Amino acid sequence: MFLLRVLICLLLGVSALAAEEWTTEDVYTRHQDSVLQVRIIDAKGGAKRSIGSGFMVSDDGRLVTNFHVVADFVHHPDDHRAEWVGSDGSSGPLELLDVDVVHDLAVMQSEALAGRKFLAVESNLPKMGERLFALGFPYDLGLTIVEGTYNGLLEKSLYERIHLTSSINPGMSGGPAIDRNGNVIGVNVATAGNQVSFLVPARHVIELLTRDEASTRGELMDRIGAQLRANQARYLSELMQAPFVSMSLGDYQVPGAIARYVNCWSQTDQDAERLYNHTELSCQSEDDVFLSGELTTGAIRYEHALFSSRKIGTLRFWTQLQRQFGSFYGDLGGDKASVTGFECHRDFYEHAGLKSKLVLCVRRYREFDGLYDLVQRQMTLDRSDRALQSTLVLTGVDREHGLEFARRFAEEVRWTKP
Amino acid sequence: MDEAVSFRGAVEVVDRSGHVQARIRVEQLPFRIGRALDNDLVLDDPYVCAHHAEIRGDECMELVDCGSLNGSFRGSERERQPRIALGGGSELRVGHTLLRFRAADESLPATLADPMAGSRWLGLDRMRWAFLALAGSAAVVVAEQIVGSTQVVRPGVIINAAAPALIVLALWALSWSLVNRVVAHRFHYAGHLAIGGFGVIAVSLMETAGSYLAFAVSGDELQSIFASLGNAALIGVLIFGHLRLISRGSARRLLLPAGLVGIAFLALSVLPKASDDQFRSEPEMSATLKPPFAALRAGRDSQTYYSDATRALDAADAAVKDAAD
Repeated sequence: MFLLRVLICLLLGVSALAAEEWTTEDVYTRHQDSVLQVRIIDAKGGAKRSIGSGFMVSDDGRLVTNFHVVADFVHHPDDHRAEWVGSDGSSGPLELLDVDVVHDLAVMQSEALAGRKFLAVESNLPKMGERLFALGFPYDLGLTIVEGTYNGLLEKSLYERIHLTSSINPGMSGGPAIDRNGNVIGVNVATAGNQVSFLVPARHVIELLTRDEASTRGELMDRIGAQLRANQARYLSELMQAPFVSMSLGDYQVPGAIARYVNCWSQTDQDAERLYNHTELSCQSEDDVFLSGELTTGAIRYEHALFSSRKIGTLRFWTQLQRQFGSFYGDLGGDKASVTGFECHRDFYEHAGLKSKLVLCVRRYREFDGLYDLVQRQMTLDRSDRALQSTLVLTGVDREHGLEFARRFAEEVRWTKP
Repeated sequence: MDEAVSFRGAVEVVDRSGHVQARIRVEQLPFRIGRALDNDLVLDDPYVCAHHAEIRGDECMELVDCGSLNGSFRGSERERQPRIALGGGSELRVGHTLLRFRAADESLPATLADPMAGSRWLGLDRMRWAFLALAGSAAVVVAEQIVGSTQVVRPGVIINAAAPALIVLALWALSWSLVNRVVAHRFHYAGHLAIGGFGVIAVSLMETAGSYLAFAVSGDELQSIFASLGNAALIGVLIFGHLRLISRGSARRLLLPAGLVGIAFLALSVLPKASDDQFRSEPEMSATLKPPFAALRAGRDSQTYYSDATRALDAADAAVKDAAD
């Protein structure tokens, strides 16, 4: 029934607004009532905790925004309340209906918003170079409209994102980006500065709106957990199906850019005073999933560092390697309430004749069943004057996929010249 | 004035602990005690009169107060006495000075056998051992500095590393020597320096041996256990060595305090540290890493390693479960 209602609303919206070419001024005038500011209020302090934007998607008072705008309200509903504020200054409370944490979306509702003008959501993507208009409340300054250019979907992204050449600023998150026909093409979600902005494609909004909402907070959290598990299962399974792209680092073959969304950089230490050579290759997925201000998840990163002794003895060289091995830089975020401390397994490991010291550390998410962050580090032990250190970081993975991928990764570190 | 007689005994000046500060033979009577220089026993005590008291007598000897301002007293009594009969071990007080009378016929206690005669601990109290220990500890500190450095080590760096360690060692030995001086009136600086120096060398060697052993068998968790046990044992031995140099008593008596210090150190190092409770958002690799030749144990194959690694996931699960309970 709900699905039918949403579809009718979408069709009505599309038919009412189609085939009409607007200027920026028209867009602003016609949609200022459909775009609202979303505020999360600290219940004790009574002031704003976070602000963002949202837009009406149905005549029964439903509004879509970003998950990251309302994350505090999702995690600590007793300490916060959510409210909407119109560009005319009207306001009212909001109720959380459902979220799509992977695509950073949330749907909320307010009875007071029933009957308000809403926007049509377009699942098809526009043509390259088409003009889009992003709306929202940047820096709490009031409703603002910015014009931009559609530049297609990001190729190097683990999560589907539209590249919009426009200035989306903090506070506009959750606002709509609409085409010249007034249809929502995407949801403002992030910016890289200098006119490089990103949108969540609108088809994910439709998917979110067409499914049953969660009835309790427990169910909502279970749903978030299930979304995260399904997400990691999807991309890790895809990665496991294909052969890993290898790169050479000295005498070793290591996993390189194993997916289109993995970006690799390398650097060689130029310090002439240093008594050993150090070349580093680091790769990471370009995106992650926002869970809270302290914790992001759903990302993959790894780095390989090749060390070779220049003119120091074995003991000195390995003392340095011990130091390198023990220092892990890369805060994984989180706090005591959201994740456990790390538990590690340490042992010698040997695969295809290459022996190494391998440490695998995991911590578990407290709120989401069966999800872990995994850090794996290995140092080869084949030569006394040369060693390769590989570090893998997977966030938000389950037991099966996490261990399977870590194992495959360790096996893919090979020695090419015995 | 009585005629001079042969040896009649001795008067000891003692401190509050009963230790003898001076001992004067009584060979003629009267034996005069006071602050003036013409006395037989001259006391440098402002509460003693110039001619304070005399020891007189024939068969029975006594202390006779010469009408002094502050009087003469028997032992710790508070009533001034014009005359005090003296026997072997009689304790007297004039002014703020404590005296003890020893009779001529007083029997001596048996001679004590000295367990320290020819002791190896005293053997340490020689400069060459002290220099050897000092040079050894300096070498250990410098070696650690060089091994730990990624760049060419310059003399200034070596001096900067070695000097503080040697100063701490010197102060450590000085502290023990001062305790030695106060307690046993001896100042074995070289001996204490040697014990401290060998302690530094032993700590370094044990630490290195422990980390290699832990690495060889891939028992990373063993390293801290080795370190705790080794350091506790070493602290116990060091304390024993210093006490042995101070004390002349039996070695067995010193085992208890040395053992207790070692056990206390062990307890402190194995007790959960306050920092353990702090949340860390980064894993601690805490793995020992040594050159490949030291990796004695065979590597696990993939299947075994990742099967064993599930224990870490189980531990994380248990942490969630514990919190829920």
